[in-house]
Amino acid sequence: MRLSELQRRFVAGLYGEPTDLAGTIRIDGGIGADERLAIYRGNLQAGFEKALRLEFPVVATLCGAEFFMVLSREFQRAHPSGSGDLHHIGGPFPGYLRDRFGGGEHAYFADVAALEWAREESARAADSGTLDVGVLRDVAPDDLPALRFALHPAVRLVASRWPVFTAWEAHQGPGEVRHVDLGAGPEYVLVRRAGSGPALERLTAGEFGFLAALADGGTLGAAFDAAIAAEPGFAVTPSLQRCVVRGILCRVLR
Amino acid sequence: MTTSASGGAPPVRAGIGLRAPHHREVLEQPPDVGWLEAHSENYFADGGGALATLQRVRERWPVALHGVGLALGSADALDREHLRRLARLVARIDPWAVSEHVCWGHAGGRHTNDLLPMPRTQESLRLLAARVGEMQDALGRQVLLENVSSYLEFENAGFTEAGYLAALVAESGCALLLDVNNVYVNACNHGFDAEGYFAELPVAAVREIHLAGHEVTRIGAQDIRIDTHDRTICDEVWALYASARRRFGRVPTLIEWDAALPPLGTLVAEARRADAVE
Repeated sequence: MRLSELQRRFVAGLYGEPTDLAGTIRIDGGIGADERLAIYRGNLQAGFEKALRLEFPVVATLCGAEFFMVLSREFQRAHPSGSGDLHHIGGPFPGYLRDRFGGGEHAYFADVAALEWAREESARAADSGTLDVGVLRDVAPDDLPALRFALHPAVRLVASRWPVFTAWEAHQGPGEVRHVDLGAGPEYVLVRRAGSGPALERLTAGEFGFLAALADGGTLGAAFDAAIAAEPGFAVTPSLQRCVVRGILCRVLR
Repeated sequence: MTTSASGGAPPVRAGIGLRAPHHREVLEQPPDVGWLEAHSENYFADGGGALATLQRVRERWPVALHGVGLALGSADALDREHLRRLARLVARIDPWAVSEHVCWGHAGGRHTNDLLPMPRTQESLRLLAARVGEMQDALGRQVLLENVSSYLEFENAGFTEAGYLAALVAESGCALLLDVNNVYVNACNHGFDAEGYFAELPVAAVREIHLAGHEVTRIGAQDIRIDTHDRTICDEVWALYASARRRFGRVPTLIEWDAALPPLGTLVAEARRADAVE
């Protein structure tokens, strides 16, 4: 059998599919081919689950150990690892949970997963300098609304109709599931780089609209309009100052 | 293939694996070890804290980059993006050694993220040697290939395991990372003599040694040893390490520990023990 065919059949076997490996695996001692293959199948499932749990610790806590193991195996069958770098497996997980749970009582798991994945992406994003506030002082007031900004590569924005930040914050560190009032309404979260790692903070609807518009490449004027639409009392100057202080803006796009 | 001078001289005293839970402590209370080894894929990020830590570690110690994801022996195409990220990391860190495994890991676009044993045939040897050549060309340096633990062997093997490594060295020009624990595990699992294995390897090609702990599990009436990296090194592997030192000299040695990670001091104590082996 050619190497490519043997490997294809072997991987199918590890993923639990019917496959013909007769005569390919040496049998000696008291351990059969199926039992030997099962060791590797166990490693495949355990390694994937461990990596998924490291990327989504809060979802894992919310699910509980047993249910998370079941979910991990389902997800692995639907979205097998496509890279030699296990850090990539989590990308489709929020979408998978969204489809899996629909509008039921676990529907918010998908948004918690989206927040955790945003945090993962932020942690691994490129380093960057940040905007010098003096640049803004040099711009004529009439020209300000037309400015566009490059945001820091580690910035991620997550909006949810559930209190997703509260749920995330309540489950830091190991422990049991804590009560979160899912009826408390929507929450908006900024993930950014603080020091060398990711930091999460809650935003108002206006701040979220403002940053989301800038992240989409919109002008400062358009971002202000978006913010006002979401939050009538939105004040642009302190929000812009907070963006600069927090290193969210990298540079003015010309 | 050219071998570029890089990363400084190979370290003399034993090193330990750099693992994320120890990052802060390694920087704040630097352990007294000769070097550190990092799993390459854990530092493939564009930026951020883990990479910054490794760069600070490199300012203080020699560092080796140990890949676990290229799966060089897979018949499907080599992942160029993976290789590009590795080359970027090598340029950032300037390691004294870059290593990978004698294994395969994916087929039909599905990765196992495991170190699967090679069927030891002429066909697989040609493929693996070509892939090692691609890796060495992309990095502009010689790489070290490590023997893996295995829980099965394929039929129709045309080589012993050590003979396959020797042939790979001859065909690709790579060096070897000899994992003494993996030799012991396979010697027990597949019934061969570990000393005979050493005797088949080209002495000058062995440039690094790994030591780790493994577990013994029972299937039916038979024991099988599983390479778990979750405990101290057993006495039989220490004895085999002494034998390896006599044959291969004082090549840089690393304590590997991945699961059930103990306090840093436990790893340092294992490194000291390795240093004391004549």
